[in-house]
Amino acid sequence: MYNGDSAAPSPGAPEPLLKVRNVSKAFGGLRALRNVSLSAARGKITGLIGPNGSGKSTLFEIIGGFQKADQGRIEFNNVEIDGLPPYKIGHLGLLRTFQLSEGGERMTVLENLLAAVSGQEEHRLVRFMLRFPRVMREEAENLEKAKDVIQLLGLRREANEYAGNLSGGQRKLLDLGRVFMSGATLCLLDEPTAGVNPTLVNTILDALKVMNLERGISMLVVEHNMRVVSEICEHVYVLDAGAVISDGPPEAVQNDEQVLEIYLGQDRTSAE
Amino acid sequence: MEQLIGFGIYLVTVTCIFAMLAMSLDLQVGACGLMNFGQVVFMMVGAYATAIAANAGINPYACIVISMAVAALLGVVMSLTVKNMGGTYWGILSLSMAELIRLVFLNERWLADGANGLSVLITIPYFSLTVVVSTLFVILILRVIWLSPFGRVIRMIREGDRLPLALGKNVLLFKLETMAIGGAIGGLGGSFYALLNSYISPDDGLPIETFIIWAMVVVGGRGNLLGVVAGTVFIQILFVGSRFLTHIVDIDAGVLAPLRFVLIGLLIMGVMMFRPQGLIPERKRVYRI
Amino acid sequence: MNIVQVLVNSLITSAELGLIAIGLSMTFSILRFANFAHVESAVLGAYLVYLFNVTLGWNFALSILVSTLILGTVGLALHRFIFRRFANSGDITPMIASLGLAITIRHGIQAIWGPQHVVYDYEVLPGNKIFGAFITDPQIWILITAVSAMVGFHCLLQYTRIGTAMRATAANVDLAQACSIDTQKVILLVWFIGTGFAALGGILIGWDTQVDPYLGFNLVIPIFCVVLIGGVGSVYGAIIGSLIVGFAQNFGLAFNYAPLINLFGLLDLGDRFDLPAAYKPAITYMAVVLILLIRPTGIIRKEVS
Repeated sequence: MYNGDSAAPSPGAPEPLLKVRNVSKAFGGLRALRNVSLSAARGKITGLIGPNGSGKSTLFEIIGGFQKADQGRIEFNNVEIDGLPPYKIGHLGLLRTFQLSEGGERMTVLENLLAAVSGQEEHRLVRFMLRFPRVMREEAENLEKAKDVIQLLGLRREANEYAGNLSGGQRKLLDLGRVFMSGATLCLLDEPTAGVNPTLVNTILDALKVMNLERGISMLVVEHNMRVVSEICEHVYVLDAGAVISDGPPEAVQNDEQVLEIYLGQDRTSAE
Repeated sequence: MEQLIGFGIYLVTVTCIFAMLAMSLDLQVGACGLMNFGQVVFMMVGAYATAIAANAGINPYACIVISMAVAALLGVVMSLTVKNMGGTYWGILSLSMAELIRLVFLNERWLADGANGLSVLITIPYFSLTVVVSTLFVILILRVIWLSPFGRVIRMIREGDRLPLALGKNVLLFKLETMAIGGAIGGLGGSFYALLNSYISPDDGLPIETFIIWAMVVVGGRGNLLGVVAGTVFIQILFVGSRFLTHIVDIDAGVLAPLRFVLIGLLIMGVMMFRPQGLIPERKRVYRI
Repeated sequence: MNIVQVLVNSLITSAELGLIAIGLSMTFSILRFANFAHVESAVLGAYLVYLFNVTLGWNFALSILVSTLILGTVGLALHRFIFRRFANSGDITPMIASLGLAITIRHGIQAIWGPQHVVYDYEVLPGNKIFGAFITDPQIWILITAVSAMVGFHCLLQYTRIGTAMRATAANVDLAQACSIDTQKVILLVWFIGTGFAALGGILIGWDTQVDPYLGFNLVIPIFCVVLIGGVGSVYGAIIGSLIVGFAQNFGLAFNYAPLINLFGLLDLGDRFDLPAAYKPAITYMAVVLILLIRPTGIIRKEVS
């Protein structure tokens, strides 16, 4: 029987970067999330698995500020973020991606990357125009950075292609590229390998590792592919019907009877 | 001959004014995806502001600045209603707001003499030259905005709010600034419009004017300043050219006037059906890798 | 003004708005774009009746029937030759195209029939006095026509297979497609009935008062208001919405705003304050602004699946 978040901070352990405490959310009569508590450790990759409709995407929407939780608290980097508008959460360095990689379709890959840079304060238009030389210098620096990211992601040939014309897998790579550019400290990845062909999956995995190990970006990853989960995640939470039913290292979770039951019962193929 | 030159100058001035209004709309629609169906209200309010200020004895240049400020403020107010509304819905809302404002000007005699409109008895030296230079300046400003990081973010907003929000961009603030700039440019155009015609009435703010400005933008090419200016010139030529048609073909002026609009309507429809991106489409910005 | 009079005027306005709004609501939902040209078919229908009835001297009822059927066919043609090609091009392109179409129709009518208003050829009799209100024979006929058209449509929706398919498609076109409903057939029927009904609504307006080329423009916002109140895609919502808008328009003018203006006794600016008649359109404009501000996606939101 599941008895609480085993990754909850014990005395002496470092504070987790993201703490979700007792979050609940209902749509009409449907209880999408029930008392969900989880945490994402600093510098680690945390997995979030569960069958379709178990509330993973709703949880991401709530953490990202796109929907409000009915109750519960969310802390990021020791700042309470529940109730903040999405852009403020993004500004704090918590960046989420979308399951269908929506947005930025009629901008090129490079423009998408440049737009992801945060801290430019581009909305202060007057100040921006007055500091034109500095803006130009920053642009040049960001462009160099973006070219590196493109090299890393293997999107060199697509650099000047509209994002809307990319394949699904390439758009997932672009999502990661935005994370690189934004300087986020934690990113929520919504199914980074869903619908991606196997060769690209490896590219994505490599990029995730670079992000985590070299740039020190922590991650919370929703993923169906158990191979991916066990390869990159150190800790995994299992969500079912809106509640966390198990958590632990991937090997342990994979052998948890309750988890097996859910996956074998409903979704054998994706659990493999 | 002199008459012809005078007419030519008038034509250039009118075209420049409409180019400003069209470029202002293009900033909202083409760059930021804000479907403003009340664009004419910026022109009308700008023109009225100039008329009222001029009648109060204020310096003409100050009148122009006042017009820009008032219209920019109106843009800010309009932007507060956008929230996360879909393009179509805000289009309907902006149309309603524009009509509400026009109704007030039409019915409140104390404000601007109702349906009679107001005369504008001031003028500025080198008026046409000022208008042309202002237009070039507006083109420059809008080009810089398009290429700037600000322009990049509003083009991302054009495709939807969610991604820019996730990236930490304050979408509503960007929309507000877009509408303020759009409003200021529209107000500038309106001020010049009042100075050119020496008169402004609620009839100048009829919704059909908005749709003519829309025609200029969509026929020319959303998201391309050259396209928008070309579209403005094209529609203007169509309008003015067809006026001379009465001399050539035996056609009643009362029939010709609506037929011009029929032509505009068909043009909008045809472009949307066969070349929805416009005659000179938006250009991709290519970086050297 | 007599309260019964206001009531009857409201009902008539509602009937006219409702007939026009039904088609817009359905196409808005199924084809996912706002058809700004929809109201122009109402005006076109009204002018066709003028053509048949006055210019050609046909029987009035026959003129109405033929004109309605013609406009239904025009709706099919519009779909076939213009709007069908926008199936995969988002909501903005067809909306702008419909604006172009609206301008074309409006000024086309003006080019043919001139800018003046026209009236139909029927005998004007003094109104019947009912509960102190004057109600003319045409007004009674207008109500009968509108109500029977709506009842007929209701029966079609409720008691036939195609009607069920129409309701399902209007509510959720993807789901309907997944349930193997022939949505193409439904879409054609929606264009035919929607445009035909719009024409009928326009004809009734012409019968009630008069028609001029600008009628369409005066209708655009009220009709969208009706659709937004009722919920995009809901036929019955459109009828309810039309009742609300119709009553608001007529009662808005008959209402004494003095308590409001005097801030409920705080000020004394006179005990009678009516909204000037010139502001009648402002009631719906204001309503549209408020509705959209409170519920940005319209009053009845689609269920989140």
